Amino acid sequence: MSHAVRHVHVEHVWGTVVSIDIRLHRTNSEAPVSATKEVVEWLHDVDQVFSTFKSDSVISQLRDGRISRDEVDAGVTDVIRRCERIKSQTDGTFDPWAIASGFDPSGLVKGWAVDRTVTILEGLGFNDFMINAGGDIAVRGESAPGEQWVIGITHPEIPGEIYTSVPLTNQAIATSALYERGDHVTNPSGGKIAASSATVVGPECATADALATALLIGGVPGLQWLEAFPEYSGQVVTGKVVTSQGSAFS
Amino acid sequence: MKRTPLVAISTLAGVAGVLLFNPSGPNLTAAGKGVAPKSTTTGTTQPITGTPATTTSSGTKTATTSSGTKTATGQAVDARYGYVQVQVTVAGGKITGITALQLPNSDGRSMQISQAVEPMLLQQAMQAQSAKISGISGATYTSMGYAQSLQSALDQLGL
Repeated sequence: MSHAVRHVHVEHVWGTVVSIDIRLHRTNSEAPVSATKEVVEWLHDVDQVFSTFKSDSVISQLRDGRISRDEVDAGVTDVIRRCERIKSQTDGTFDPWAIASGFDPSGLVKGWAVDRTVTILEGLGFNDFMINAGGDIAVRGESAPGEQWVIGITHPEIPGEIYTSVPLTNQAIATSALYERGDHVTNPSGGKIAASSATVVGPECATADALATALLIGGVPGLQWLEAFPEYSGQVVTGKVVTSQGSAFS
Repeated sequence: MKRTPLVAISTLAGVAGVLLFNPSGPNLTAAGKGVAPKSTTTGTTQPITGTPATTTSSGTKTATTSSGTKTATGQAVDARYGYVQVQVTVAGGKITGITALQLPNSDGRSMQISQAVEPMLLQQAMQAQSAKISGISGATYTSMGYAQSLQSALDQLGL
């Protein structure tokens, strides 16, 4: 007699791929399928609100002035406020308002949606799971009895390889790099991108996501921004050197 | 701050393969079919050169514990170059074999892919499993990129 230990769903959404990986070794819940369905529906709702590619999305309407900031829902307001905070605390390096085509919070929304997904799954009674939204990850509980989740970080120069791995418990990790999608990161000051890869580990994926983007642009000097985020650790790859700060990388 | 040299961890070898293991719900059955375990080549890296674009679909799979040898057979997946279907053998909770039941062979390029896919799937699955890595953090990948990603291998094959 066997019982399910893992339920994985892979959803193609937001132009990327979201993996929902629920471990069932210490739960009696028989509902990973319906829970996953609820999450997937929500992921598509996020796309309807935040997509910059959909002309009728809330973000698109906000960009061209069809609606004002006062008219958006609490979720959008939360995202905007988080963007403002991280812009301010990275000396303007993370700046969704500096995008040529208009306000684009994509650098934070993916992580933010991961955090909300965590809340949904916890609310449904799951303790052990991983959400990976195109490389922005949050984990809860353990991957197997007594096992931490271990996340590999993609090597910035060698496709398909990792350069390190990080054990995580109830944390989030986000990596921003120049591979895969090319120049999707822009330096608001018009300067160059200082690092080839930057990773941030901390309690919230939204913050980790945005800070990783800022560190990619700012490079090693940007690690000082983490002083304002004491629960977060950062790692920056420049050339052949990996520079780390914080407990996650010690 | 701590500085260390950038290295590549070759326990997770290059994902040059076409990760087309079906994501849409293979049924685990105790078929008991003995697919012989194959050895893997470690410490080699295989840079991606001219990997084909593939299509994947959203889907779900559930893994189960196993005490004996079991096999999971995926549904055939339309991979643009033809249909792909694989069977995974699990013994004692570990992947011991992957057999391609259906692979594209309609043209020269597909033939080349077909010859490469089976050992690569097995190699990636076993290496990721031995490293106990559950997820990969990296820059946003596209749907196309996902098909060739380590995360894809882990989603499909991790136990």
